[in-house]
Amino acid sequence: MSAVIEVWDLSVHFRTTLGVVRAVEGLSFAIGEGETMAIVGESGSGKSTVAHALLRLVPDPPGKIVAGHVRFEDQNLLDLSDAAIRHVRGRRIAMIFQDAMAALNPVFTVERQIGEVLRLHLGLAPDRIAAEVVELLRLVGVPAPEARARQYPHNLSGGMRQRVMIAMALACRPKLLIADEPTTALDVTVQAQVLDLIQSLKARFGMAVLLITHDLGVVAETAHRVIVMYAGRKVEEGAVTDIFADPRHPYTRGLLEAAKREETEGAFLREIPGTVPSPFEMPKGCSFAPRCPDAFDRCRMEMPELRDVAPGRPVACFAAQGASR
Amino acid sequence: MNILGAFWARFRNNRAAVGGAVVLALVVLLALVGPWLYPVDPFDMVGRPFMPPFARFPLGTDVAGRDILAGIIHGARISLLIGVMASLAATAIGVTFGALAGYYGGWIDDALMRVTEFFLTIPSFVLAVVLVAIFSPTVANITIAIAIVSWPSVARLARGEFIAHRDREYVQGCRAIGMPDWEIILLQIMPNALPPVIVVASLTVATAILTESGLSFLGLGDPNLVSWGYMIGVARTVLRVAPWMAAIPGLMILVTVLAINLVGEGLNDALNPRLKQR
Repeated sequence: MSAVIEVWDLSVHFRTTLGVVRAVEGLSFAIGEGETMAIVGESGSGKSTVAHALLRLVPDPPGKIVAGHVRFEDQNLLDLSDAAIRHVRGRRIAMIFQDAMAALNPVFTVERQIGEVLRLHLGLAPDRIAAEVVELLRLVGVPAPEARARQYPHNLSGGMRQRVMIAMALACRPKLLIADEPTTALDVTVQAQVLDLIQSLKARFGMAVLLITHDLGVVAETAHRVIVMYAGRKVEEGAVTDIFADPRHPYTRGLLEAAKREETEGAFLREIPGTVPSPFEMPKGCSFAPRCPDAFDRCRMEMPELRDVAPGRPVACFAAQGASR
Repeated sequence: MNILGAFWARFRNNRAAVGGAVVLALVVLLALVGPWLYPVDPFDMVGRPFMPPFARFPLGTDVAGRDILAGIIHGARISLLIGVMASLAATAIGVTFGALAGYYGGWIDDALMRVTEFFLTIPSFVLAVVLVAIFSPTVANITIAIAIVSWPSVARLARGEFIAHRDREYVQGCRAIGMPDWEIILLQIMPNALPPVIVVASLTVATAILTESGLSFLGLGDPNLVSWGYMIGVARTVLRVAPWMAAIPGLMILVTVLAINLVGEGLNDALNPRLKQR
């Protein structure tokens, strides 16, 4: 399986008045053609920063991509000129956001906003744009697309707005779709519909998807592989089935425990004690050590490197064993 | 059409604003068709000086026997012209500075805002006097001088709006579809940032009219044109003998500026409806 996008050693830092925040540190991964890769982690784990960094959307200042290489269609995206990266954005790599209400411009109609993409990248004439917008809205399952196209974002329901944003993202048939918490702001029923839609469109157009989420349920339903991030670093990676069946990193196990709501009915909700360490007071050793049930002395002194505990299963933990525990 | 209808419905709620709009419309009408309905040259000495209103001329004559009504009509043209043009110019400069500073931030923001603050620290009327005194007092120069002293407040407002919008997700979305910065600034953020700017621009018209009157009062008006401030300046020495001579143009300035302020308030209610909902 050839990779659509390969990321090596990506580091993104934010300079603040309190010090440097290492939002993403030494992250490497690759997404294969037609594959859905999920990045999971708590708030502050750096997962959204990864999504922004791939398209160089990290606000600078204060953010800066300090190291890394992102190979996409035989180019290093981090080396491209501003004009060249704009040709990638929206055309080859599209992005959908968490809150469609905030991500759509309130003063323009749906048609105008979807039309922007077609005009910017395909240079379509206005009459072609109108027809194409209706076609795209139909594709994402918006009923009465002709009427909807003339409406404003505030006229639409949350699910409809998300569909509009997906239509916008698909306008140029991108090779990679980055979905940054695409369902977090939606009702559970609408969530399922939107996920189904992304799945079916992905299959239809052969896109790869990078899914950023904190919701392991979403991961289980849609992703092929998953990266678990903690405090800016990848702590574990593997196929979704392997990760769910046999998590090797204590943090991953904690996340899965916390997500088991149904099985622990009547009991207290399991949680991981403590919170993500402050970015200004990172522990000396493993950043998860203060919260880790399995931590021993070495964990507090030394940062564990990623190592393969099984083929395709890198884990950053001294306690992780080659075989299942 | 739909948007204009909603705008008008909200504007209409503010009765004072509607009153102001009516008065302002009358002043504009006076400026537009007045010289045609009442074709008297304001510089012609048409009669005896110091004639009170309603004697031979509707509003009497001034110290040199010039028709005051003709002066009021021609003065309306100058006041409105300078007020509107200076406000437009100030808004153009201010929005450009504010948009670039707010959108890009960093050193661009620092540089542009230092320039803005430099202008804010100088008393604006004094600066206007100096500028007009250095360059010759023509309508164009007076307009430019007033614009130069009025733009900083617009710049600060526009900067604030752009800062509030630049990190919003829709702007991120525009970047994510590969839109160039100038399009994001002009076509995406600008329509969102404009309502408060329009309100301030309308109020700037009022201050510009006052500034112009002040300049003319001090004798820094265009010598070839009659303006309300000039008329008050001429009448100043005879205030106790012929109070109407200063009172009539003074009343015109008061009424016009008040009307513009009321309209500005109404625009604020209509364009920022959230501020009013209580």
